[in-house]
Amino acid sequence: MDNCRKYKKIIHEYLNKERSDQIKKELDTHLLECISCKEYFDSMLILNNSLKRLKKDYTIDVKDAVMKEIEKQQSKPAINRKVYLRYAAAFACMVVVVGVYIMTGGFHNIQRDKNYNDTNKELSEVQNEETVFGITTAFDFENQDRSVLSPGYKMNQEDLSTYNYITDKNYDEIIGDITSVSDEFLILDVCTVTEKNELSFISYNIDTEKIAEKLNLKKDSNYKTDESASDNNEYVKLIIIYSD
Amino acid sequence: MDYSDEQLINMSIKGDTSAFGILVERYQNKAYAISIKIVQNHDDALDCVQDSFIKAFRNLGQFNFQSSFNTWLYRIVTNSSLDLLRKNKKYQNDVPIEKPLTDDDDEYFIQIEDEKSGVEDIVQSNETVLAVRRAINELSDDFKKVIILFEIEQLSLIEVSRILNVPVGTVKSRLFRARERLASILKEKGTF
Repeated sequence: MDNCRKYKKIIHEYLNKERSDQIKKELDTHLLECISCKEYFDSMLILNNSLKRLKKDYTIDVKDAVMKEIEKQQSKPAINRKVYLRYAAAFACMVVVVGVYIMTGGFHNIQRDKNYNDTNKELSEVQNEETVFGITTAFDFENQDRSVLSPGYKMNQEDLSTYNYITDKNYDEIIGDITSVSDEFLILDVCTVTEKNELSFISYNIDTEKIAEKLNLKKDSNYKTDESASDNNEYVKLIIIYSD
Repeated sequence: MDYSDEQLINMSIKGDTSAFGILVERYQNKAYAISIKIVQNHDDALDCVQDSFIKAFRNLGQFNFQSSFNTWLYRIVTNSSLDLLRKNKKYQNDVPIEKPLTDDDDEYFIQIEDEKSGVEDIVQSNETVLAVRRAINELSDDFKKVIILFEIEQLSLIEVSRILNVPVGTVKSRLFRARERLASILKEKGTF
């Protein structure tokens, strides 16, 4: 059996034209003695001859078509594909930057004066209506430009309450806890990261305390106003809207 | 003057497209012979050959002369043809067993030119070869490639190895298994 395995390998080497005539003679001797190997060799030989018969010489002429296509491609404007891609990428980046700038309130300074009165009016309406309908009903925060509530924007501070809290939790833990209560509270913004883990809540209602309790936060005796907070990166500021 | 492939490539890179035209003339028939075995359709094979030459031209600057131009070209042709074959699902089982031979098959049909054989032998042989051709369609891409390049196109083991970018040992082992697979398919069909 091992011998047959050896000759099977030799048969394929013979088909690969790797074997000398001497080996072929040795193979022939074995094939006279072994029917199994002889059948295997015959089937491989028929296959080999059939495959060779599939070879056919073709005559085609694609030269003109190829050269025409090459000339066509070469006659395209000097701006090649790579350069074009660079322009396209640059344009796409510009669109993204402008889009992000607009979406994140980058144009806020430009629009601020124009929208200032309107926004304040909206916020007042929100405040007025939240007790009845809930804040999300009065003002569709999901779909509106949230930048109007960003800390850089001069909200009508008199209408808001600001609370500072201290916690031993790190930033990730706080965010994790916020996520766990976010069904109940609509978290609009997390502004800065603090080393001291001090938090400042800007909320539209007194339920800030409830949130603080849920987040296991302690009130900070060193009260900070929102104005002082905006110049200080040492604490996280959350803008939280109680949803219902 | 008979330019070498290398000279023609350098001339093409420098902008002499007519030099590339000579390369097209030199290798188009063999490229077609490889492609037609894979896609088994004249028009598709022509498209593949044209596309392959255009791809080769576009990438001439990256050709590093470590292999010969025809090896590089045949690799492009083989891969383009297999890509097209995969894209056109219709060709995956393109020759139903029951389908009678027609003139349409001529492009890839086998020419039996054994003068010593009688008519009966020719018909029988013809059927075997056709069965083999069908069996090739059932092979995996890797097996199909070695069978077409080595057994049908009769390129050397080293050439096949360079075209497929695999070691010679891998070509040999694929050939071994591909032949056995073909024999097994033909046995199942009652050809052997």
